[in-house]
Amino acid sequence: MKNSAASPETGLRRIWRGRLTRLTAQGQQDGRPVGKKALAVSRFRAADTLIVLAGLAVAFLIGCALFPSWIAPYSPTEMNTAAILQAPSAAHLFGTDYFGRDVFSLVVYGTRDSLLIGISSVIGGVLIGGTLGSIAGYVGGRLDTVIMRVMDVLLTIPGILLALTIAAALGPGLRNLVLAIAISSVPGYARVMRGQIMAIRSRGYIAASHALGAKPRHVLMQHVLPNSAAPLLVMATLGLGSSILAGAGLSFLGLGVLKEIPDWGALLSQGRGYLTVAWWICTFPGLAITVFVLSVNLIGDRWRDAVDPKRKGR
Amino acid sequence: MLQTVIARLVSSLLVIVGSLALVFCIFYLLPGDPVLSMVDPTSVSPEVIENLRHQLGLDRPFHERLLTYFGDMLTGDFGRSLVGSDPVLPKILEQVPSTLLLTAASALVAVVVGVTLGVLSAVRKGGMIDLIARIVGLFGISMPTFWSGILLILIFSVQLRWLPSMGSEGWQTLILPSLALGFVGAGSIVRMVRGSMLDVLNEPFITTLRAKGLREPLIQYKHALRSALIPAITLIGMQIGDMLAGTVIIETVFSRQGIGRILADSIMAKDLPVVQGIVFFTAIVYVGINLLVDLSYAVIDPRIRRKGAR
Amino acid sequence: MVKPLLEVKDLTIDVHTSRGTLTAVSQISFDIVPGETVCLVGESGSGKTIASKAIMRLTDYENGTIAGGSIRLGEEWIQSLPQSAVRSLRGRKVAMIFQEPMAAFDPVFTIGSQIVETIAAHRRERKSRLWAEGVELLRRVGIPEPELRMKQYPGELSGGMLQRAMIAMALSGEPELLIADEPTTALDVTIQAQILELLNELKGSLGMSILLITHDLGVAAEMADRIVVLYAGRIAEQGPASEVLNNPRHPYTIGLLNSVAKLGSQRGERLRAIEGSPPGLAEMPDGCRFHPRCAWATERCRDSAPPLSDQGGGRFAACWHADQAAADPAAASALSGAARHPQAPRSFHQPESSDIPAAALLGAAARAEASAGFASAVPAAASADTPSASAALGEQPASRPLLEAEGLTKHYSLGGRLGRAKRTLRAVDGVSLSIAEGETFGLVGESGSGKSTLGRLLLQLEAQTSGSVHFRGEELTLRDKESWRQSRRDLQIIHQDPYGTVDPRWKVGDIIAEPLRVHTQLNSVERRTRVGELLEQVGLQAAWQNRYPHEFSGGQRQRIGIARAIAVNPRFILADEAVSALDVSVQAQIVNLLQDLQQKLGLTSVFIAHGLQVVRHISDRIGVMYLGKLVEVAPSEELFRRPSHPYTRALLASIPGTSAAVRESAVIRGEIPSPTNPPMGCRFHTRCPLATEQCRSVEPAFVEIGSGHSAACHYPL
Repeated sequence: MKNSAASPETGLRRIWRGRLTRLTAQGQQDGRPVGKKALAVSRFRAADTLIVLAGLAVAFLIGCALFPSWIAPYSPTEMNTAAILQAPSAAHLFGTDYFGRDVFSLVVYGTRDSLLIGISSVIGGVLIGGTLGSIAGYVGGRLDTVIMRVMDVLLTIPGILLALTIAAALGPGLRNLVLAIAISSVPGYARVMRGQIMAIRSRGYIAASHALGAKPRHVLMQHVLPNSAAPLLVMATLGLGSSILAGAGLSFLGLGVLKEIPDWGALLSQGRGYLTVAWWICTFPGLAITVFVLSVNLIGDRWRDAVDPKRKGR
Repeated sequence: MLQTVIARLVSSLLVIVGSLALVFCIFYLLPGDPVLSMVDPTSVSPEVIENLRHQLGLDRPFHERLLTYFGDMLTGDFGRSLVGSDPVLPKILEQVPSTLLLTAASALVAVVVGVTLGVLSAVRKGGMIDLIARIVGLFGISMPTFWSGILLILIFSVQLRWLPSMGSEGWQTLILPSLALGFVGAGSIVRMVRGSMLDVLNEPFITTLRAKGLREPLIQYKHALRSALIPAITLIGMQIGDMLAGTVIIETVFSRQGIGRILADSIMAKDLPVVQGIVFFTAIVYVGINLLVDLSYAVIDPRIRRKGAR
Repeated sequence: MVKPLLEVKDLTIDVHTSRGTLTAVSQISFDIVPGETVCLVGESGSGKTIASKAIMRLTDYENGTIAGGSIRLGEEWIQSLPQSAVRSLRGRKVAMIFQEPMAAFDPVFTIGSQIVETIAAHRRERKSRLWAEGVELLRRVGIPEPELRMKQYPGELSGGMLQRAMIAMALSGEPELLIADEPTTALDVTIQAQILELLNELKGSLGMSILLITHDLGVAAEMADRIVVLYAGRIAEQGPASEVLNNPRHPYTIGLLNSVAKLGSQRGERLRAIEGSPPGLAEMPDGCRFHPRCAWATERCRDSAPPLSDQGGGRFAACWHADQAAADPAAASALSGAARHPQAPRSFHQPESSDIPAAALLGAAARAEASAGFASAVPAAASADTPSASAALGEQPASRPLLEAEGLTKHYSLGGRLGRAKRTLRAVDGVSLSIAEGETFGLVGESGSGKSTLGRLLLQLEAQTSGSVHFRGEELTLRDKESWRQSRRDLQIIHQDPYGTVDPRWKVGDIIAEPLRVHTQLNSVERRTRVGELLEQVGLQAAWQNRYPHEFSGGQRQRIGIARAIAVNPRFILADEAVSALDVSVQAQIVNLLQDLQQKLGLTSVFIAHGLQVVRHISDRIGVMYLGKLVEVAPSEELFRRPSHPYTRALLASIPGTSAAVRESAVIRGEIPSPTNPPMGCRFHTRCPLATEQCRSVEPAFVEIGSGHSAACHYPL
């Protein structure tokens, strides 16, 4: 691209900067206040602390996924028949299960597959959905109609059910699970991207760039896509949460990865039988899911608020 | 107005036909061979597989299969279960009331909790209720339903012994599952209602209403809420659909009867005709809910009503 | 002395933002006696709106607090009342109308129910009675078919109708004080005239006081008994309207008056603009807040803020140099001499605006009288009455046409789905015009007249339904993409919204360089040099290339827009409402800049605007559009002196500040019909006071009626 010399910036940096840009612009344009002053300040700090905590939680869980052996005290396959169904203690932080496996180690080792399913399916969904949405929004016309009707049809089956159906048809396995969740999330991303592209296309600076004789490719690459990407990335962040939940849900129903080391959903499913005797087997994997999804959602919310000036001060 | 209704009905029918095709495609076009996912080829003789193919009509040309499939589905012939070889449709219909009851109860929880908390938190922004609403919103969308279901069982059945942990007899068995399922919907609805209510409260016309000397409750509950509900209703419709689908998990967790449970079992048993039938049935219900949502817009928002009239 | 109805004393309002507490209004004092109209005049950031909202304590809901001072309304001390007590005053004792009538109504309730609930908030009554009362109120404010309107939703009424309905709603509590916050800013000029007239009439018959907030000195001149000029949250000057307008004491007021392109000013002459732009809330200068923009500023002005001092005759000014301002010949000459004519006590640009149309409208006798009366004041007006002068004015600036349009038509089709009737919106209908090299052609008309669409068609930003455009003799068309793209080098635009038309993620340098990248082979170093030149050419600094658009003020952003438009040395520029969104004091700077650049670069341009004075100031010729048709084209002086089409005449008479006599004879009733269903025959006949049977059935041809003067009217004036 010709302009790269003049503005050697990556798309992502532009997005972040654009967000700051708009924030300050907003601040300058109006004095729209945010609640009683003192309260606003204190809430701001509380919110920041939360974001930091969420970031730490996500970092820790990613650490678990990458280097489980550094964190887990036991092997996930090690069955200690002497310590069956033990309640949480210093030796077994999250207790042990019916086979005498250490639940904490199981949760740590289960992180990898759980996150892998979530992250891969989000990437897949965003790539497919984002591309389809961009084409529909930018090209418009009949192609738009066709793509969006197909999306409408996909949306007639509620997300989890669609993923379930596809997974059932494809058969078990990590790849099939990812594919099922990715496909079921495609219509959502496609709709957002299409809406975003259409909104950006109607902005004055697109018409202005066109009017000064810029080629469509220039307009698309320099203005439309960089300005449309931020909301999609925000949605992808929030979508990561629901993809993890969907993955855990399918796994819980037995459509997951049939491996020696269970992921979080499968762990819960296994522990369900011992609910009355060992509350910890189900509680901690669920807690891990919740903490991760909650943290990702907190970060996504914050990011969205920053990108969308209208939401400032919520 | 009538034109709008007819137009919506027609497009809903088209979408249902589309979803029918979708279900067909999922089962017969995706790379997985339906027969091979039903039986283990190493343990079954090739004749059995051939037989099964023929039984499913897989040996016929594609367009023929599609047409037969359409014809069967539209005439209510959902095929026979591979497991018990009983017809699918009656099997589904028998279980429908239980599932719809659970969905309705969950929707009630979600809408009542979601809308109430959402509105109150926007009106008293920064207060205690707002904090609670934000927590409900965040946890609602972050907790897996099966886990919240299990936690409810642990607390109310195992520890406190107040409510049964399983079964589908009597109203007591409905409480925990509908709370678990409704909580997810409540989370999304709280977030949406709060946001759209805050948006509306920032609209210039709210200033007009204040300048006219109207009381705050009138401004908030008559004017702001009505505008705020317009975007929320779409979401509520989608959430009800998700709750219907969520019965697959919740009915399993609480060992309740219903189509969700059958679906889960059929998936494990690889009983594809039943899976197909239930998915298609759910799609019809979902499209119906969305149709109702669209029509309810016209009641709430006069701008849409007018567009229809022109 | 009458006891004031409203007494605002030392009012200070703080606004709490995420960036800390800012003071929006500092120590302002003014009062309103019963039956009086006071205008709060100010630009953006002056605090005029927040001050008016504080009177109803609406600031409480917008994170504002009254940090000091007092507000007395009747017997109540507003600043210390609890909200519930203030609420019972709202709508009953004091009512408010707003700038955007469309946004000020709840879109999902009928007009009727919103009026009824207003009355019901203060009075218990049977619903049917309230409904009848609502109908009566709508009738009172001149809304046709009020029974029907009551049942309609806000989206179904036009802006002008809604503003009337808003007034009706405000009247329902029989308030003693009506606060009108820019009530006509969002409306077309002919509708504005109607609304202002309605307000004046209601004030007279109901004995209300009006607090009118406006940025438009013309509106203030027309409405105000007294004027309060606000600048950056403080009062700059206040006093009786005629005094403030004719004999301003504060340099800001003087500057503001000079900034307005007046009908009497010489075309082509530079406007006396105020430098810089109004400060934002967070960056208030020390001392006198106007000092950074003031030519007379001294050390004292920088150090300490001048108090509002009594200038005698009920006048107050906050300036250390108020005496000098009063005596300074430069200041005096800034005002037209006639403005101080004793026979025209409440005039802003009345001498200019009234005598010209009056001369044209009121027949020969009146014309002679008017010319005689103001001959000394407005020499141009007198000389223009002689045939030779008008001939001279009618002369074309250059002969060769640069841009020619032939029968340009643009129809949009709407609806047409599922058995609904397909409608055609006739945005532009058969417009032919020719713009000579070096000429500036002004295009005026109300919203819905198609002027912007015509502009876009001229540049071929949209494809016409029929007709053609020729640029330098060659057809310009969207069909041939490559040559169309090439032609953009010669045809550029300056947009109305200078912020919305630049990518917020781009640096200013990249924004201005974009056309260079598209059309030239310059490398990045050469581009930077060129951008630097351009920035300096438009009065900014070359070093600002690396800043982002949000770091600039509105006026500076428009300069950036201009720099981008002239970057590739175009031959032709379309200025589409290029100054409409700017503050008055900044508008003048941009108009001056445009004029300078046009001269220096030999540009040809089309200048689209709804502000008639500005268009007159900058254009050689002006075309008037109505419902997609060009109804009159004439050299700009000629158009203002001898408007031939009744619509042009009405537009001129609608300019705020026009005398009542002139307005009476020319102002038109009703609103612009929908372009989807334009009237048969002459499209203006539904609003034309002179319409005959012929007008209703036969469409008048667009014919030349004088040298360079054409009109489409069966009975040109």
